[in-house]
Amino acid sequence: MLLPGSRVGEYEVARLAAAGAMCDVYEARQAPGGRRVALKVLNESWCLQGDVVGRFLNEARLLQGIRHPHVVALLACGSLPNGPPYMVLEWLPISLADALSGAAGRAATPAEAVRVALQMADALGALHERGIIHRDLKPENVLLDVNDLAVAHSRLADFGLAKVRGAQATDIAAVHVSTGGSVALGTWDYMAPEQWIKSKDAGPKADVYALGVLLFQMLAGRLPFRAEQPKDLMCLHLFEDPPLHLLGERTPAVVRDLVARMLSKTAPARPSMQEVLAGLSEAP
Amino acid sequence: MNQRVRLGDSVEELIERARSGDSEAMEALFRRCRPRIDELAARRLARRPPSSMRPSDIAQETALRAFNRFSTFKGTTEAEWLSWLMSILETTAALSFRHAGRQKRDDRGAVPVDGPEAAKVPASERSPSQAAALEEAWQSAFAHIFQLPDEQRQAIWLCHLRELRVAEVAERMGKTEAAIAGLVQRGLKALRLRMTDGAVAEPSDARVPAASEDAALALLTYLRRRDAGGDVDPAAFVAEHPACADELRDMLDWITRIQAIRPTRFEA
Repeated sequence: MLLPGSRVGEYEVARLAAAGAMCDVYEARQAPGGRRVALKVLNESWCLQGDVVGRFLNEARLLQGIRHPHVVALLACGSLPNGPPYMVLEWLPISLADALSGAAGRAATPAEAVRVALQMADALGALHERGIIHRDLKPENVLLDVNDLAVAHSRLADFGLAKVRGAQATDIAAVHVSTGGSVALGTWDYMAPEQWIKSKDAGPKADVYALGVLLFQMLAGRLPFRAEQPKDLMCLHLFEDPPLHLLGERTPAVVRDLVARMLSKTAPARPSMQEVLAGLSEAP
Repeated sequence: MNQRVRLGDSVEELIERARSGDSEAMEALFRRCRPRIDELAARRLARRPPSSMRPSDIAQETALRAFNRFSTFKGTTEAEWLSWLMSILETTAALSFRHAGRQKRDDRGAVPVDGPEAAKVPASERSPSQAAALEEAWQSAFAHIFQLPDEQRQAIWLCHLRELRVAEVAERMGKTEAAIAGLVQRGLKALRLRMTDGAVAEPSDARVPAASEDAALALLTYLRRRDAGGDVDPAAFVAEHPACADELRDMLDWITRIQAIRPTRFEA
């Protein structure tokens, strides 16, 4: 654990902002009185797990090569003197999950939902063009600069499960991490059917599905499929039609149709991220 | 936009307002009809032999289903509303009777806890390896069902995993009940081929054995009996259809396997 006042490179730790299962996030400053940053450090207890360290390093490597207005910016990375790797990221303490729960679980307005979805589609589309699939889009991984969806700039974060396909794979991935063929990777509520079945085969359309779930959630104020057990949730994602009627009459027809297509059970039936972007841009 | 609900508001007014998104009207509508649902559930259960099922459970489940599916209600009058609720209650009751019957069958191997047989019964708690094997089994089964052609997948999902009545499945899929039985029949055959032989059978795959018309008709009869809440004994049912006994036995066996992995608690 880093104490307030500790220095990591040119940054000075101010406080522990969040303690996660794998990483701690500290608020730090570039210099006394300088800009605030987020210092993300892998917990020491995970440093002996090769795949966990590999994912952390790959995330840093991947973010180093991306400059996009809706992807969280990596400012620096390295290892602490006692070993754990760290990343310095721009300071964005509010997540979409905070914004949605702060409104007592209410739905966002269609304009707010479309706005956030457009920004995420823009970010994910840029990643897909580079052969990167995020595979873990969810409200917790969408960071906001202000807690107001009507004006917030959102940034996509947490690339720990991201996968690089094609020729870029060897350039970007610092460490090979097995995605274990049939192991389901991702967050259950947002996982596409093909991700439930074989994560390794999930392509860019899995991100389209996850964005469809996110958009549905913002518009309806709840997830399209709800169950406590993974078996039941897998069944719903694989077989059940999404309850589009929950989107309500205030959701424009063009957005409702787009959500329906994004939540198609088979990947080929879903639009590409560029088509999603175009569809959302047409929303009234 | 919610308006204030008054005691004098008619059911018709509440339906109209609930349909336009007024959550208070929706709540009032369900509060207003709850005594009627309780009464109908009590009557429905009175026609059955005594069991552990309670009218309040059926009523609660009916109200929940109706609430979740309110958007599919197309009527405008109180009579249409009650008729719709009644049909949901019938489905709910039939499903509950079926589950109770299955539970009863599952209990057949029960032994008294203080008897000598009890010591030989393995612990019901699964070991980690058993749990992992079970998880792998249902994941694999779902993956195989998912890879069936769209309509076969949907028919098996609705008929045997969701356990909706075949009439309801036919209505949802815009087909006849016989067509649904045919889809289930072909789906089960393809599933068997995939899961036992590891083959990837496409709709036109010649390796999927031809489906007999007799077996499809028998399957439809089976589904209707099941939907009526009857306790259908697979062996006795197969014996009633000697012309297609082998195919039917095979289908019922796969239906039992699918039902064993059906989801239990979810909102849809």
